[in-house]
Amino acid sequence: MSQNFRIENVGLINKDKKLCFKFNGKKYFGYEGDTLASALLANGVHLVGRSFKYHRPRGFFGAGVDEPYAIVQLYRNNETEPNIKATEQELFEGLEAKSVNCWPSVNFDIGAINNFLKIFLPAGFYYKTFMWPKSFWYRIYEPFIRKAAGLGVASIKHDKERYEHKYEHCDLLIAGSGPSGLSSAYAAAKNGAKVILAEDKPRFGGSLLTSDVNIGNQSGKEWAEGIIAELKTMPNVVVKNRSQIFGYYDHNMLVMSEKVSDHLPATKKYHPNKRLWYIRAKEVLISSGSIERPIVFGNNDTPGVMLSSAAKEYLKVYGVLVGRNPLIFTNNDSGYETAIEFKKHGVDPIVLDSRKNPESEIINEAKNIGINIKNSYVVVAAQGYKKVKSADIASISDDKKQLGKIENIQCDCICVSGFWTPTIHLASQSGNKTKFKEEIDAFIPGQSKQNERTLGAANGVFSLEETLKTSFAAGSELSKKITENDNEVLIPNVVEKKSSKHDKFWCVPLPEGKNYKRFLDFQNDVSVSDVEIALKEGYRSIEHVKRYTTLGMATDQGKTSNLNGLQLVSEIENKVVPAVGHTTFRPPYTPVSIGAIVGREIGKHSKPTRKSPMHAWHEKNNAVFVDAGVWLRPRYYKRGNENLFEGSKREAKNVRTNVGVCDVTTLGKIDIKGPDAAELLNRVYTNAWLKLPVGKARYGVMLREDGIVMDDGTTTRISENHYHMTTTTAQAANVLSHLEYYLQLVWPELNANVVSTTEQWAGAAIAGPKSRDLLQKLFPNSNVSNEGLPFMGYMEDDLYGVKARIFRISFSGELAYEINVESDNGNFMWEKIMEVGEEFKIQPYGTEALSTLRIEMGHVAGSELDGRTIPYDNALESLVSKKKDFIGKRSLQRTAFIADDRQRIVGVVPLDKKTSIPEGSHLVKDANAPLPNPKLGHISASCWSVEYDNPFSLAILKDGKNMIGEKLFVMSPLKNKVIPVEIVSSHYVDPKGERVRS
Amino acid sequence: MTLPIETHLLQACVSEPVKPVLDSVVTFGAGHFYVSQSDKGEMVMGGDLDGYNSYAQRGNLPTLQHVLTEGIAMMPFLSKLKMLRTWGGIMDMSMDGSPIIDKTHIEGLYLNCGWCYGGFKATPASGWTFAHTIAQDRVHELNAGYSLNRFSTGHLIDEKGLGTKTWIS
Amino acid sequence: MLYIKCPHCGMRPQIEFSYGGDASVKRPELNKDVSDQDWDDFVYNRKSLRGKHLELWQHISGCRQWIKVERDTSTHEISRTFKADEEVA
Repeated sequence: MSQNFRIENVGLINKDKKLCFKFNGKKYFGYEGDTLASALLANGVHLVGRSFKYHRPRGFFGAGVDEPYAIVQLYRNNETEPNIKATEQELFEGLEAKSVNCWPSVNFDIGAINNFLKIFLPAGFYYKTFMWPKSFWYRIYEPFIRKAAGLGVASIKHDKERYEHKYEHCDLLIAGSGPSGLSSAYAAAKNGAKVILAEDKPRFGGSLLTSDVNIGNQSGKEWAEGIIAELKTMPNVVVKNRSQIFGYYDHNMLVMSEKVSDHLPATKKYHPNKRLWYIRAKEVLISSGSIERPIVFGNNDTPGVMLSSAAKEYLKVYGVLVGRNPLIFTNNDSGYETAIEFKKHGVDPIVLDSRKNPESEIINEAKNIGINIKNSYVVVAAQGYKKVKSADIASISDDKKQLGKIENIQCDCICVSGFWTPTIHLASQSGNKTKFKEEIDAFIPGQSKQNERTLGAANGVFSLEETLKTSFAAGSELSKKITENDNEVLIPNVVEKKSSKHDKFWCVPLPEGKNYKRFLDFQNDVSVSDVEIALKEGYRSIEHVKRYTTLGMATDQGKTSNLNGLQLVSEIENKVVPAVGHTTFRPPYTPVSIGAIVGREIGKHSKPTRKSPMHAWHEKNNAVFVDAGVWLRPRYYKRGNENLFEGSKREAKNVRTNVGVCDVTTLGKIDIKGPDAAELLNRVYTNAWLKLPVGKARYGVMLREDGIVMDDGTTTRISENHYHMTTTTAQAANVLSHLEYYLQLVWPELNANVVSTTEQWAGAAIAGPKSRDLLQKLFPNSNVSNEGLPFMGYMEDDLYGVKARIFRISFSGELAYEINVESDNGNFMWEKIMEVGEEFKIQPYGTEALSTLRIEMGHVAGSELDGRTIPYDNALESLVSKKKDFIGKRSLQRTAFIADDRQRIVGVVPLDKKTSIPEGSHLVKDANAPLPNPKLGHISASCWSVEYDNPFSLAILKDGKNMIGEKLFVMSPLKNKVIPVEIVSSHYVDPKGERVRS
Repeated sequence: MTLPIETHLLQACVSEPVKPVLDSVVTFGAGHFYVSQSDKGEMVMGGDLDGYNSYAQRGNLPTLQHVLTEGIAMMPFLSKLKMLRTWGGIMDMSMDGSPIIDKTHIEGLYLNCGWCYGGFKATPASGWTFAHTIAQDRVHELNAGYSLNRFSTGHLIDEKGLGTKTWIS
Repeated sequence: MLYIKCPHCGMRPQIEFSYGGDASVKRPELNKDVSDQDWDDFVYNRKSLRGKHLELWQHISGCRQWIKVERDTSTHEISRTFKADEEVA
């Protein structure tokens, strides 16, 4: 198809490189440097989609980030992405895009029937229209709304793209590369400041690319190119295009999303799709410019109605005419600039100016080149369904209330300019309280909140000369403060045409007898009448009006609609606009890819993985791993076709009959040193610690101040002032912080130091009746007899030349030892244990067997010490000292904690000795009682007892002390199980603890 | 009157609207993430607190980054969507993670607070029992457990077992 | 992300720290009788100030020191930071 609307020798695109693309299945071509929007417009395509609520035909309204309509489904490299703004998407070879919100096609859209039913979809339609009758909501209304809702289609495939994060510090971060961004960056760079200059578009220069101005002896565009070229050569400057600063967070942290690959047919190897920059800036200069705002009139959403600045940009940047018969509707001089550009390229525009007798250099120029200008004239309504065909226009009275006789004139586009709205989002996000500037009918930033300053059009300054002056000065001043350099930069002369005052006019009244839809928010289909209804129904706060009507809540976040919405509310409420106030600006300024926000921390990289030094051995020996926090631990070592149940049973049985070895490296280890180490332990643990001899270990329980058990473990006195504390794997980091808290803040007088040694030691537990024989073989020079190394004893020895610590402690309830060696020797230790242990039929065992062994012994672990139990609940009250004070002791006196029927740990056995009991099940007295069936307790841990060959569980049960022998029911609605059980002692195996002492 | 409550900051966000892909609320307990799709098509998502006392109603991106990381772990396709809007709310975090619905020692002053970052599904029942408490000046059996003095007596309702560190979510 | 001046290490991003709550809470002395009210105030009751709030942070991925931070809870502005043993005037 030929490009009927492309003009020769104009624009910044590369006409030497043609690119083919498809839109709605049809083939077109454009050029390198086009956006999808400019390429479609060059081909005369104006109909791109359907609106959200009424499915009205929609075209292009803007040329960038403010675009409310032109949302497409993009297909790139066998992936699809919803909700892409055609005005932002750069063209690449093979691009494919489709319209959204239309079925069966954009030209014939069944949803458009809503347009004729619009009485059913007024403001607040989510909240009221579909409320009655109630049953209709689920059956009819909601499915209907849901089907109609949404824009594009989400791909449910995994995202193959890669996203990365970058962290930066800089002296000055400058948002926007228009005249103020360039001049402040240049001045700051010359002073040696570290500068980051960010531009969201592919091309630097902002308004200089399209405005007819001279700086020095160059055109604005040439000047911009020169500055950028020089900045790029400076080592202290980073300039980034395709990079949007979208959030201004606390303490001058800003976040920028850089599109690295979206303009390419596919992401290059080793390149990310997007890069997210977290930037901590000393100073921030916001030079984000302004966005033209529309004037509201009838059918102002018809394809072919667009912002006058967008029409100018399509012409000057892309060499595209958005129409051959344009009508320009303006309340200020900007419309004339667009008209002049049309005229220069052989197109005759008509200008309607709402003002009576405006005079300025620009208007004079327009008159001089013969542009047809109608003063005190407005567009009443656009005519045409899928494209503007003509416009109803009329003269308007000076008070803007009365329309003259309606005339219809032919046109193929309507370029509208309602003056400019400063882009104050970033300043507002920083916490800046904005203020209303009467002269421009818009908000500008007020007093700086963080180290931010807003310049140029974003600050409501529309004169180029003043913008350059203030921006050069700001760049110099702020950089001088940081670098203490003061290099003079000459501010160039500016030649620009002076403009006249704009007209405070934003909405064309309805002619009598006509009921045109006049849209404020184009994507969410919010019209003037919707806001009127909301106000009539009593919504006053602008935040409520926004939510009720959904004004400004579409994917453009109201960039073209917010201010007109405010004007309307202020007019109806008879308040000034600043009294109405605006809704809060929150990040992001423009939608940001969730993939980019998340970055590389996905899949296996979402959390760090910790492995013990013996991990490779476990892998080689068919370990099946389980996540224990961020650690990977062997759950069992699979033999042949064994499943978890069979394998763990075999391993646990072997511990009970021979000897097993378990990797316990993950246990938290804390070294405590100093003359007051014992005193610290005595305050932290519930039991007494002052008399523990050197070479002995002790089991301890520590509480939080609220009396709840925090953790348990053994601590060993290595030497006079040196203790080795172990914690559970899960609580290792918390316990260290806990100790540091008390040492640094509460009891700084204690002379003791703590440090984590978890990574320094590899640990192996050897457990079972043959463990002593094995230990003796491993350490032939030591006396490891019951007298030489008694229960809770400690010794040091040499394991084939490697220093080892040997603790006689037991979690399994069997005769057991724990050997620690320095981590680097972990694998050596493990292999030696396996080698020497062969004659004792040693087998490694994993966490599942470990659990089985501790459960049937009634030893508590994380599932009982769950942050809700006190020592008594865990049958640990004998460890609670009555004599001394310790952390949390005072809380143990509370009524609930000393109640006679306090919950307590018990054992649970199914009556049939066969049915496994699901963990988390509830215990009840009567399985058939009406709901809510009073819960007596819950199952904390379950296993298959290898000692008795039947299921066994631990439970925390109300009045557990007096429940032994009771018959109760276990209920698991999740697993649909009701199991009759008997309550037994939690010490199911070896209740007297003879084995560990044997 | 000093309450066992701290004020914290919770952020949430919505994606751009897409055609229906999810027809129920899904929560990911281990990752602490929730998601549902609104009737407009936006995916509504949230999870962790920012983790320090705040009334500012503004949060920081690393928290949302973490929340969305958990989201992608559960539903990888979320990666291709775009985050449209975020906001930060004020959360009254009680010291055991459960609300307080009770009368007080001050005549005519009743409490219904400490809902932490949840409770929307309990709103009808809490409203009903609270109304009962106010109308009859005594607690209903359904809110009897949610008393203010449970912190003194130790009758805590701490489902997560996190205790008084309300900021750990 | 907050930017916190560790009195030992200098300016560091928030991710290096973990939060520790209201720093004005004082633990009752050991081995002394404490009334129920005083104990509840220590364990549970919080002023939860809007405005300047003295709070604890631990530089957990740095020097591991607990520090006191004076921060405005309505704006997140940090005015001063102190070492654990420094008097806050």
